[in-house]
Amino acid sequence: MNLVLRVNAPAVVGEVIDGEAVIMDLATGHYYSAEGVGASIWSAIDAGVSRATLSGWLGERYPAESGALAGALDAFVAELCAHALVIEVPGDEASLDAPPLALPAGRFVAPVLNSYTDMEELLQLDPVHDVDEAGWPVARAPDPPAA
Amino acid sequence: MTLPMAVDVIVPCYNTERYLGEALESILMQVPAPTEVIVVDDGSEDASPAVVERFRGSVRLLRQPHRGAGAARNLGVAQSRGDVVAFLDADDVWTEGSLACRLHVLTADPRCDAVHGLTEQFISAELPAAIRERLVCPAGESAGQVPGAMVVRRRAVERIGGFDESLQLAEVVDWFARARSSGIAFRMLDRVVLRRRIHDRNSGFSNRQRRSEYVHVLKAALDRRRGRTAPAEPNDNL
Repeated sequence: MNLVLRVNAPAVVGEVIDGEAVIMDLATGHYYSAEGVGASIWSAIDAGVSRATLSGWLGERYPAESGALAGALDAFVAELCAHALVIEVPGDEASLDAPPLALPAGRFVAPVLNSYTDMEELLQLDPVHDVDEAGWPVARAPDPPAA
Repeated sequence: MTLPMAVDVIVPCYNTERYLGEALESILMQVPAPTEVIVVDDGSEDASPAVVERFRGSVRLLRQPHRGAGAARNLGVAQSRGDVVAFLDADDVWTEGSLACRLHVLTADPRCDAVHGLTEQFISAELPAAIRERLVCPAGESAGQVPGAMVVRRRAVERIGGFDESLQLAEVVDWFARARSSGIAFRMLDRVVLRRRIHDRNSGFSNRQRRSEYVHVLKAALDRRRGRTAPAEPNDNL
């Protein structure tokens, strides 16, 4: 089975707004942003693609800078994973022809993840833990009975 | 003991008959007591208005069709006249001395716009064990900014503008983010002033659309900081 990139839900929620990916981690109260290539990569991760697929799309879009692409992608994904915004897990990949947000035209600019902690106090008291569709704080299903 | 200034407390309420009485008692036991307590019933379908009746003479009841907590707070602020405004959600309680300690700091520093205390959370005691076991209650004291732990000068509220009534979950985060953009001077007390009740009907962080509200609020805050929009976007709901 392939390794695919997944948003670390439910604590992490991200969305591309006006071309900028804004990503929030309610577990820490920190939030992040990325524009340009980074926003496109986030849109693709949110859709459920693999690192290999991302690499292929970057290569097609920026053939002249192919030498820089792999390192930049790995660094960006590593940073997303280091902040626990994204996890890489075995699974089925989404079937997409291109990132939901198109990669920018022109020369390749390495993606940058900006991080912010100034809203920590604001997000701190909001429902964050183990949420599911039943809503917080009715959050944790009882453990299954022992076999 | 007398109040150094007129202080009104706004209590937004929606289907909170179980807890509203306890919230109001925690306000009315404050020494000194606030100038006025206003419950804004946000279209409750339960007996919440009847609970307020028990406090007739001490509490004013306003009613509106169900429009959300932000709209209820806005109506309460618009109908109040005090120099200072405080809030308490109808399922939470203030601690003893909660109001006085915050007002003491506010009074001592004329440049201070708002004073916060700490919050601790608790699981509502009357719930059946099966429900209590499923609830998650963060331990310890939190310096998180929530309306119930704050007193704020009316002049500051007018500068910030009202709560965004289009938001159903993130209106508080949005309001405090706009407060920061407006240069509001906050002070934080190292004392628990609010006990926040965890129960089986808390507002839920439960679906993607509502989670999306938070992201949009953060995007707006980033844009304000970068000068892509006006410094703050007070809405005129007050």
